[in-house]
Amino acid sequence: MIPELMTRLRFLFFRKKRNELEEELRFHLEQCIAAKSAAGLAAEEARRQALVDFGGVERAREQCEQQRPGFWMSTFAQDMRYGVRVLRKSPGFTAAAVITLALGIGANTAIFTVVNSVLLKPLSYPNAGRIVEFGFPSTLLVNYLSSVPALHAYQGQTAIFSEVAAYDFVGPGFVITGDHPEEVKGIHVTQAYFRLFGAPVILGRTFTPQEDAPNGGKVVVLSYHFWQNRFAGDHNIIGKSLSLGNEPYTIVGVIGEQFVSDPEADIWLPFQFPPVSSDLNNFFHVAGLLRPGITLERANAQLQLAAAQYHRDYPRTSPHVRFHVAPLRDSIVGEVRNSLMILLGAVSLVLLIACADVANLLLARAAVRNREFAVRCALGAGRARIVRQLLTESLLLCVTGSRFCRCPRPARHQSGRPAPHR
Amino acid sequence: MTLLSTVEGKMPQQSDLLQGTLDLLILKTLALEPMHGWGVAQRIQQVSKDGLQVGQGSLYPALYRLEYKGWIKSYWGSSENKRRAKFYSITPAGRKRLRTELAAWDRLSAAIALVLGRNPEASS
Repeated sequence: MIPELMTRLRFLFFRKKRNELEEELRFHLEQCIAAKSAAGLAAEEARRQALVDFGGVERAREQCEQQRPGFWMSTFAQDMRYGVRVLRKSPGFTAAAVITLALGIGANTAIFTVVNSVLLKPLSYPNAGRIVEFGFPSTLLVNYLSSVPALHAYQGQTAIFSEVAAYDFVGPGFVITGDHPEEVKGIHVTQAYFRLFGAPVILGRTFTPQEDAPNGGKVVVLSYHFWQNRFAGDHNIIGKSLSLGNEPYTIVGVIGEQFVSDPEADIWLPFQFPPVSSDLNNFFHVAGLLRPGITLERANAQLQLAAAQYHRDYPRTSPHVRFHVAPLRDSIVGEVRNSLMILLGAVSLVLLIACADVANLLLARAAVRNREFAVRCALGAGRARIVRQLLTESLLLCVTGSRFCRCPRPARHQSGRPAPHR
Repeated sequence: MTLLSTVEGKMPQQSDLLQGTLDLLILKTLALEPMHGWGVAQRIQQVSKDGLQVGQGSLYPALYRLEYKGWIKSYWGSSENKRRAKFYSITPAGRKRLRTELAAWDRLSAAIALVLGRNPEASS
């Protein structure tokens, strides 16, 4: 097995010497003549018959050459070289074809990159498949904002959700006061937030239920980058004080680098909602973690019972109030999905048009090159060989076209999470 | 393409034989002793009592193909009449190949003989 492989490899790279075959064939011919002479033919006649028997020497040589493993590679290289020469000779055509392809492929690559990161790649959270967003559906769209009483109603559904957490939909600016004033993005969250999104805690801890209750104290959790930039990654930061709006906040924890929150945040503060509230303003997002095995349909069905109870508890709400959960991605992407799909369809058509254009160009050229093909046929090129040559040229055009469409990659979030669209 | 021609009397009847058959014949011939190309052609013709003539145009491509596959290997030696000639000899891989090819051939020819009613057991 191994020697066989080695033989094959050897012949792949080193072809046999041409004159070896020639000598071998000449020997064969001489033997043939000698045999015929020995049979009683005159020398001249023996030679003539032997040559007739032998057939075309060139043809035999060609066929021997074709047996070589890697023969197709050398013809491919030949086709490539010839293709490059031909394309160079008609720069106008080449430029037109390459630019057309580059535009078509480039537009597709750009849009697909967006579609891929926004719609196709899974969110980076550990339980991304089970995280859902709460909202109030209306006839047209779902309002993904909730109120404090609604949050409490969701939190009561412990059979369906293992975690329910509220968080700000936009990071309010906080001003760090003191020697180096700085504005930072901070969002309020409830204490289940970090568990729900699987945020890795690298220092200290996140909020306790006591800290998340009214008058729970002024505490703050830092993001990795804020910790690095502001405190140079100080490992003794826990328990130190951060002055926000002239009020001292105690730093209780630091979250790992790979966690990216939506909206982005430098710091997290506890919401500290009152346990009982009748404030029906919707002003924050609520996410839930479905218990394993609970489907979206079952959760939504169960939530309608909760909604009916909610209306009885808060008669000021609409009698048609409904609760609704959707996968987190849907709530993030929203109507952008449709626009992206339309865009993707449009650029696909652009690519199709580009291909048709290039095909037309090639067709026009093929008409011009008729004479060349006729000459090659006359010289013995088979139909398959000419088709191969043309395919190689087209391949060359495509590869060059796609090389030219390199576009800058969109900036990626560290965790590969789709950029938030709202 | 005629790889082998069978000769029957004065009316040469051409029959296209499978490429694999020529490979098999060459391997079998070389299994006896190393030989040059001419020798292989002569030996096949003699052993088949002039029934099979290997065309030069197909013999050398076949020899090259077998060599590239590592079933036979070649070296330069001197022929019976002290002339430099290229000799071919079978490799261990070639012998293994010959065994499997022979087995396949036996199966195939037995099956065809059965269908054609040429099998002594079947016809009696």
